[in-house]
Amino acid sequence: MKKQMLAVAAVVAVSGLALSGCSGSGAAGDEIVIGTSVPLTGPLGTMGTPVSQGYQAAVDEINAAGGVEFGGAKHKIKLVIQDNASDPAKAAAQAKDLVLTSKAVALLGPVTPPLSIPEAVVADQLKVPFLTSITPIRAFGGAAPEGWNYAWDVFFDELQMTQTQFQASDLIETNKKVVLFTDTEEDGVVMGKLWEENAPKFGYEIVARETFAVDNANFSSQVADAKAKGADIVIAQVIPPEAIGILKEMKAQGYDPKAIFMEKGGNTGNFVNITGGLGLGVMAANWFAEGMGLADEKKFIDAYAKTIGGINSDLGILVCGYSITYVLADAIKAAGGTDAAKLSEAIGKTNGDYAIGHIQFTEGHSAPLKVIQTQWDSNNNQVMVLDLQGKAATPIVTPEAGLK
Amino acid sequence: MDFVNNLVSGLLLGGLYAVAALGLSIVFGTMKLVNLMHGQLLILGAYLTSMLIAVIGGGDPLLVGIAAAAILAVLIYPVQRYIITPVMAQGEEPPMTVTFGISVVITTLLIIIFKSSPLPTWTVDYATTQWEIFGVRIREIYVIATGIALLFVLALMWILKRTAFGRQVRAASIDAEAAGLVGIDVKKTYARVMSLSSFVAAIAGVLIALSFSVAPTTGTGWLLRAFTVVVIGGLGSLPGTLIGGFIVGLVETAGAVWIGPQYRDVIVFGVLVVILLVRPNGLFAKVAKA
Repeated sequence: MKKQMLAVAAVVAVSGLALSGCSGSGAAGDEIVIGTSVPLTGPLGTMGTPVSQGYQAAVDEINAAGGVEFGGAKHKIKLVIQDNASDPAKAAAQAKDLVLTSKAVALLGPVTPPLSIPEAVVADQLKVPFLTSITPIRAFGGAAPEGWNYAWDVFFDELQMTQTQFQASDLIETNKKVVLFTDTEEDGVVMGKLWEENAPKFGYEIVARETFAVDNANFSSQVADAKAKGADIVIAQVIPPEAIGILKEMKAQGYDPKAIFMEKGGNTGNFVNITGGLGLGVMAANWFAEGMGLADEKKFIDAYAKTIGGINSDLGILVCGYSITYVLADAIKAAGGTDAAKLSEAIGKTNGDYAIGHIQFTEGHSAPLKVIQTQWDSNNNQVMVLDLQGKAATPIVTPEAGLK
Repeated sequence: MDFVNNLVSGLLLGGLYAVAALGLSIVFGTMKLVNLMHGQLLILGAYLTSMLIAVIGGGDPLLVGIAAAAILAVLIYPVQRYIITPVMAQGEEPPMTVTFGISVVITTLLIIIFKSSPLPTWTVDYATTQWEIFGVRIREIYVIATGIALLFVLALMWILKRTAFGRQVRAASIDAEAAGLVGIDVKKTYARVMSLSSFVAAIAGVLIALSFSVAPTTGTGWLLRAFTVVVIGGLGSLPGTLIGGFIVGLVETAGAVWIGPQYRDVIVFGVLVVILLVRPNGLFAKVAKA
């Protein structure tokens, strides 16, 4: 009996040692759980799908190479993806669930401020590192006047983005009259104000600003007003259904301006198709295109352009997701583990070249990406017309071809 | 001339709104059912048309839409007969809740099948053509929509007043129990009415897709607009629905032009509240009840 008791005690002791070895953070063979709540369905589903593909592609690559190295061992990543259906409340709840239930040591973000900001707030509350993209940095920073602690954002600066439309317009002959179409969403309000401020600096005149409620369908009065004002340039910050409505009304009223910029709405991968060809020639700011000179440009075009359906912003979103996953993996390596404070600090020290370009964070926890201007062609590609230096690339086709 | 342009444009836009609301009006007028899946039926009509066009490799959306509307009418018959009607005996809320549940199912299925992108635009000339008559600019698709609205109202009034089916519907709408006692199969009648409503809704969905754009989640916005039209015109009144559509179209256009497009919804719903304060049953509920 005594021998049996000793044997049981020995087994328990050995098992306990083994288990403690497995559960310790940073020990050899540990799997790192990273969570992400993204919009795979709902109005933002078209953007959430490529960003999650980017996360998964990077994780698969990292795991295929053995995992993230720290503490003398390689640790594989387990990516837990949840669909928040484009619902901010659901996004926040899932972010919490990923940390508390799935035990995620870090979170990768969704897309756009309405979803990224609620998740960033949860991450700061739970003190878990959070890294997001496809969220303009001023909107991100503006949501936390006291500053973020664990949340980080990699995307364009609205100020630079709202200059590219005028820089691109400089490349063609126009009467320098601009009409703005902005909905009442936060980015519509912010961008509209920046365009109004930037226009005179570039020698342009805003002759009308057409404002409307989100998901507005009928644009007859706004387009009639824009046409009557004789604007050669239309700049819009709209969602895809609004973009379609505006283009249909422009076609019906015979209004074919020399340049049409449709930000956000024009950054939908299948834009020319969903507009029935009316979107052919529409321009939109972008952060990934052929000819930008990014190191892995060709790799991504070869691997994904065919499945995505062209070299367009969906591919850019995928590359953003891929890049910030690598930023997180590098930070885990630099922090020597998954301790939240050390990991967040390591993210902040990021200063390197990634697939989407150079990433370096500023004091506001944001890493600005420079954007270019692109124009939709008939092959469902967004062709670069204004490069990273603000210079001409491929000549702009004007007037907009789809409205002819 | 701008004033006339806006007046005509608003009226014709109202024709489109009337078609979108007619199905809702028929169902309420007959079954006293607030059909919360009506917006999704509109959108489903557009998606079914798109699927049929893909299957047959082309075709005019309005013509193909008739076939899609017939399919939707057939599909919706058992939904009313075996899901909605059985709960109607339990009061007004349960069937309303059921229609809300079905609307969520339709939206979710559309998202799963078609993703979240708007439905690809059909390239037909009449969707983006504008006529100019004596200096007045008229969008062709709005004229077509208004023509269809008038046709549907006349046809539905004829069906309700001149056919055996119409007599059954009217009997069931006045007193379902008494109608049952005289041999009318009320459950089948309700299912046929819902099918008819779905047919009209599907055609309206095609017109909406041709005029603007539709996505799996846009049904809710159209349900709200259809409700406004039906309530202003008078609950259950077919001519009232047509006039309600014209009023909403006019108010919307005038509000957008003279006050500001960003206030469009505020103005429309403000008018709705004022009308309800003055005429709680809508403008034409008593005058022209179908």
